[in-house]
Amino acid sequence: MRLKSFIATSIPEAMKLVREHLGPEAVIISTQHDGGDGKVKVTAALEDTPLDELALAGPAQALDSIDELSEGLDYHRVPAGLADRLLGAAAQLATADGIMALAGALDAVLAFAAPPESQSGRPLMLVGPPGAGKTATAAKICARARLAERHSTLITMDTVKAGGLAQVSTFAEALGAGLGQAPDAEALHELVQACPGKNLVVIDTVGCNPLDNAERSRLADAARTVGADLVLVLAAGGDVLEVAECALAFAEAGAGRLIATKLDTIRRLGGVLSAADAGRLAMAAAGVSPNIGDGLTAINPVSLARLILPGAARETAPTPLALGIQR
Amino acid sequence: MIAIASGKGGVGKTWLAITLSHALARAGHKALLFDGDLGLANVDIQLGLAPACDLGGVLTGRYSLARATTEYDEGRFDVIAGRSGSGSLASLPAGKLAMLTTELAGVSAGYRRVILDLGAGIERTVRQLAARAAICLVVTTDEPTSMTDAYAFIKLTLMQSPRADLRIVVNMAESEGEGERTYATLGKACETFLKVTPPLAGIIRRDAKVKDSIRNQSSILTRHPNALAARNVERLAQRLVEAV
Repeated sequence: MRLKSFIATSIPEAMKLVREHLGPEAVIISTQHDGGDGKVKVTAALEDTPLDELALAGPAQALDSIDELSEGLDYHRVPAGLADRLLGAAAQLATADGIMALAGALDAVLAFAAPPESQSGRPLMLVGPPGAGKTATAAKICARARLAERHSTLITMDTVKAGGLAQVSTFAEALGAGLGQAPDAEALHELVQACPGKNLVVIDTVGCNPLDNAERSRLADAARTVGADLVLVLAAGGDVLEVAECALAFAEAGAGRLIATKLDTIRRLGGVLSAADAGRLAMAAAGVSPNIGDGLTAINPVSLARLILPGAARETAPTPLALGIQR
Repeated sequence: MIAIASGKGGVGKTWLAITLSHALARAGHKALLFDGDLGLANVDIQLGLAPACDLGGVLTGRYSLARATTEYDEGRFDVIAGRSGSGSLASLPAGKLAMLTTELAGVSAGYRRVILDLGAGIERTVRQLAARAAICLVVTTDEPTSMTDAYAFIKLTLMQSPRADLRIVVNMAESEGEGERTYATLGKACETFLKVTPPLAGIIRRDAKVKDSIRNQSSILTRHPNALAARNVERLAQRLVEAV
């Protein structure tokens, strides 16, 4: 509101001054006759932004977005400490857009990485507890690589699981990817050496018990032999603390990135956020459908914010690949 | 809980908070004065207190809010001092502010009246604290800047909580009539643009004794209990007690 007083010899003259200085929208809020000289003092006000307009995008809206955020994080069972940091970061932004406030906070608090297939050079070794969706994720990465017109080689170290090789071969064949089978680090080294340099090498591993130090060190050793990046594949959902401890265990073994899977089968993302936070893992992608062609989506602060906030539209996955294969 | 806000600084908000707390204590109400003005806290300085614990320590987690209360013997009311320069409530993360307000609610249970001296300004956190109070007194003087800032505070608070009980206090009024005119002007602006007219809580006359008591780090109700401004605040306190 702008407030201005005018002194004139008559009310009409004062009104004229008000119109001249503040425009036709101004409202007289006080008139006062000044002593004996017959002059009149008029105070007029002009509202800059009416309340109803401000209500659409004012600071209160920013407060509402923080409240909405707080509720959202609570719903997702995000641990208190992490939620506190996210809300604190979002409050600094003071934006009325809840998604953008959360995206900014996620960006400030967690780390994000480029989608796995766009990385160059080092092979990707997918590790994680049994049943996390490593094999399907490996296939999805190859599918994304193919969309990006990049050749890939899928190597499986899982020679134990019944029908495991058959599953991987089906995927590799359909995706036009090279296929290899490495029961140990030595065999893996040979296979990786034999791969054409420009190929994306994706290594699928046997499910590893996060509580078993020996199993984890074996994986870390194998990764070291071929200079691979360890990428943790973790199913969303489950107990938040359990997931965080699991992420921490794999981070200690050398994992630096996280692919969260099975997001379409759960509603609460507290576990995923807590895993990324506890293990200081960069979020690289998310499994959002069982389709191999388009089931893995790149993840960034904005797309993650959309997944977290209720009522927000899910990020549209990349164009489906006409491969016709489904898991 | 009665919050005292202003929008603009330098309108006598802290002085009013102290005097009102004292007036309520004199009327037999167990009162607590919470200095929420972390940026430029000065309740303790105005009262000549040297509290061992203050809000700064509470926010860094060194002790509880209950431990940060200091007795102001002369006025028979308690004070939770802020600490100048320990940052402002406005920069507190939302989680911490929520924690603080919850703790304040707990401590408040031990008192009949809690006076909240809010920082100057119209930031979200200030309004969030104000929204928790049963009544929020908005202090203005006859200066146009003070009136527009008080108006901005009222507007934003109503936007956040449309049913907030906001009341206007005109401070440093040259005369009763001048004070009423200031109220009428601000009230008319609210009525015109916000369709709400916050009632007048009271008019406090300009009084040289106010400056004298501040200079002597004492409450005006101790030093000059019969001063015009002191009596104005006592009447304001009485009206508030009747209202709550």
